[in-house]
Amino acid sequence: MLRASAQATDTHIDLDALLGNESAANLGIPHGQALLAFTEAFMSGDQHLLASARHSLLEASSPELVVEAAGVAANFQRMVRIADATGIPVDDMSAPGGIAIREALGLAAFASAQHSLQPSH
Amino acid sequence: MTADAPALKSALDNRSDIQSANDSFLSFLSQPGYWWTAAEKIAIAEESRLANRCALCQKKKAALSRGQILGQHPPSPHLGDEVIGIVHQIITDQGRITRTQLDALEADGLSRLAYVELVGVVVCIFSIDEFHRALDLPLPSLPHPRPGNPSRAQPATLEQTTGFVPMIPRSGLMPADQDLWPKGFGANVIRALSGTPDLVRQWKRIAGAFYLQVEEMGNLVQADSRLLNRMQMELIAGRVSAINQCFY
Repeated sequence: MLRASAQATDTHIDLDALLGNESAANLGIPHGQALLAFTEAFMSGDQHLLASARHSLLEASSPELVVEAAGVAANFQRMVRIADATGIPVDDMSAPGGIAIREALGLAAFASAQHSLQPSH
Repeated sequence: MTADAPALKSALDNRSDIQSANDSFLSFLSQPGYWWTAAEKIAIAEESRLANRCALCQKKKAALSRGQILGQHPPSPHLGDEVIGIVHQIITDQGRITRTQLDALEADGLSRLAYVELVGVVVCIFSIDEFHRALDLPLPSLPHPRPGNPSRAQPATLEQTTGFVPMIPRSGLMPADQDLWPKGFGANVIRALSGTPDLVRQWKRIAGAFYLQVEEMGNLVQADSRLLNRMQMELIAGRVSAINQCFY
């Protein structure tokens, strides 16, 4: 979806951001580096790191934007668990964009890839 | 709480949709469900909160094979050890949940539809809690259970052809469930919990406040109601999913 949203606005981005590369996150994405740092800190479980990253994002943007960022992060903590706990496969494995992203990011190495690559139904 | 907390709390106070979605879920949690009593649903939510501090689960997560690590969780008055174990795994090691494991749970008495409801409770409270953690705000109190028995109601049209659980077919929505997904949509992740339709409604309401309404997802530029543009949202979403090793 990151690539699709960049294409929708004809913005050049670097998908290495999804691998945690903060300089890549800044390419074309407003506050990209601060948003990625906030996400990394949130996922680390380190509350001191999170406080620091949240403060940096707040300084760079606004409290309202930080609330939105927290919502998106929390939302996808749920979505991945729905997907993996129910073993659902990717809806369309043949979509060219999806194939390219999965190859570029090496997603086939994930344990949950088996739900789509070797579905038992 | 940090020095930023008052500003963040003030910003959150202006998001009545978030508060409303959270309150709705907590009210829902207090009521008997499809397959679980209210006390059991709340116990599932309580176990969700304990999962990340569970020493046994940390060992299982680190092990090459979860089966190498034996042990029992601290007991719950409302839930068996197998149920506590799967609740914790959904939080801590969801990528290694298997059909074989769910078959074994079913043989022990946890039906697939009861499992679907359990997943729904876990993921909704976890998402709400993670939102509060992200903003360094106190977790909302869990409600007191209301009396009553589970309804044991289930959708008239269920199929088990996708993933581990029964789902309503994409084009199989009965009149009472037309609100679950827009006609022609029905992505697997939307349908996944449709064996217990109210759980879909609850997570969609939370998702609509935290992220986007299903109807807004086709807008790849920026929703009118949001400061974050879609690229910013998908950067966060994609990185959370990557760290969770989610292929979907």
